[in-house]
Amino acid sequence: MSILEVRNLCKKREHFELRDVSFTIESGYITGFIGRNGAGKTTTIKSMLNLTKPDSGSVHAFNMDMLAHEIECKQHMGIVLGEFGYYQDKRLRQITKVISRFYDEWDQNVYNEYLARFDLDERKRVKELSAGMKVKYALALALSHNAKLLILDEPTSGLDPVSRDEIMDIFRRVVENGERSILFSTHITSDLDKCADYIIYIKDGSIIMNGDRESIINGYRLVQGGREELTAALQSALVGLKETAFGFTGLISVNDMYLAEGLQTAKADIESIMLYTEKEGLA
Amino acid sequence: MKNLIVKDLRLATHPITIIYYILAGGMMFIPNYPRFIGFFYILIAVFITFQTDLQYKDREFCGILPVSKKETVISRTIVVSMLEIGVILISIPCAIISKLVLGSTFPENDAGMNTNLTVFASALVAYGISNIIMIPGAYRKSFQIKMRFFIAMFVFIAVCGIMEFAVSGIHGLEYLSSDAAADLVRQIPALLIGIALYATLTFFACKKAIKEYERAEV
Repeated sequence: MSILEVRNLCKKREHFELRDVSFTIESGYITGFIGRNGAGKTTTIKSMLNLTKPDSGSVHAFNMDMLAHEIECKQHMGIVLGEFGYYQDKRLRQITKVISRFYDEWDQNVYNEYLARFDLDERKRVKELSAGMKVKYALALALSHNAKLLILDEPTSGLDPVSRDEIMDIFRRVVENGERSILFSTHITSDLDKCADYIIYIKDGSIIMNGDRESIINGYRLVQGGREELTAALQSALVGLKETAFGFTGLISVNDMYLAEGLQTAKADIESIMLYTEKEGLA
Repeated sequence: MKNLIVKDLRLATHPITIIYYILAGGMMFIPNYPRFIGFFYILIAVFITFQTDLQYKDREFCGILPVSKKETVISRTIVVSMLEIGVILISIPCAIISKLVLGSTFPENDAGMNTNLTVFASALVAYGISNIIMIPGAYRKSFQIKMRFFIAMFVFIAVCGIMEFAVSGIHGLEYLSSDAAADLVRQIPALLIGIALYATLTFFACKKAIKEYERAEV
């Protein structure tokens, strides 16, 4: 069952354009939204949430038009835009007291459980929290009003590998019962290998890949060979090519694998797919 | 809406506002002192509150909550009005006590108008004009509060200056400067005009700000 449906979202800015962005988020899964810095991840998320007015397109959440039913939709969403950087001088207790008033399904017991689990001290001010703690606090807030969809924009970008791993574990636990979904944008592709079920890849304002992670990974192979083995047909079939003094490496679609017969191949991962895809754009 | 007002009062309104309230009330006890100065401080409090919105990322904070942009602007306008009307309400008992305690020693304010209904009416008009300058600026696509505060500051001083000049320089308007009981009754229409102008100007400030904020990016 889909809980978020984005259709043909367009937004034109002076030096950037979001073009016909469409995707669906299924209930009970984690979807990674990837792309380079400036590819359009934040603009897409902000347009979905009516923080930026899209030029055209539609967003449906929980079978409601997001723009027409913004308040009802946001009641069931937990939104984290970067690390929690609001009201840095205030204590967590003060902020929570205010935020809890906005949600019909706020559960103080659940919130207290998350505080204990995440080892958060409510007496601390926001500015006293580490980057990882800020993300955990934002998650505690998002999970305490029974949010069905968590939308997280670059939640792990300022975190060290240990904290990121911890956050990924939390994500997995959040969706465990199949009632919640997570859409999180990132440019740290290793995070996706750990927890994402689906991948949406945006490049220059357009969605270029959208599907389950395994299918995307299995759709490509890394191919490696000597310079003399790089035929014209193979070169044109490669999605991104890296040439060295000794030979080449590249990414190839499994449909074109017949062109790489006899060459050394390896399984691709999200990082290599993104790397070679971006390389292709630069060529 | 109520939740947003609570949010603004608990998180967004700068704590220095309390100091300004104490100053505004306390200034009513200073003999021979321009009565508008105390009201001016709240203009600074409103400016600081909007300015710290940037630092605290208040727009984004509201954006993640289940509220509309329209509600965000309306609630903030109500909070600004609460600050402005609040200082007037605090000044009234302070002015009465000051008159009772110091009235026999300092029967007249040599530095301008006596504390009376015309002063409150003029302050309301000055606040109304400041609101229409500042509030829409705070919700524009490009945040413009600093420049607008300086404009509002000059307009506030100008409105108060014009009133001081009018009541002392125009023959027949002297009663507007008096704090005698009979003259206070005659000043009631001036106060009502002040309230009406304040409400109208603030309403249009809010309406314009909503329009600006709908276009703005958070």
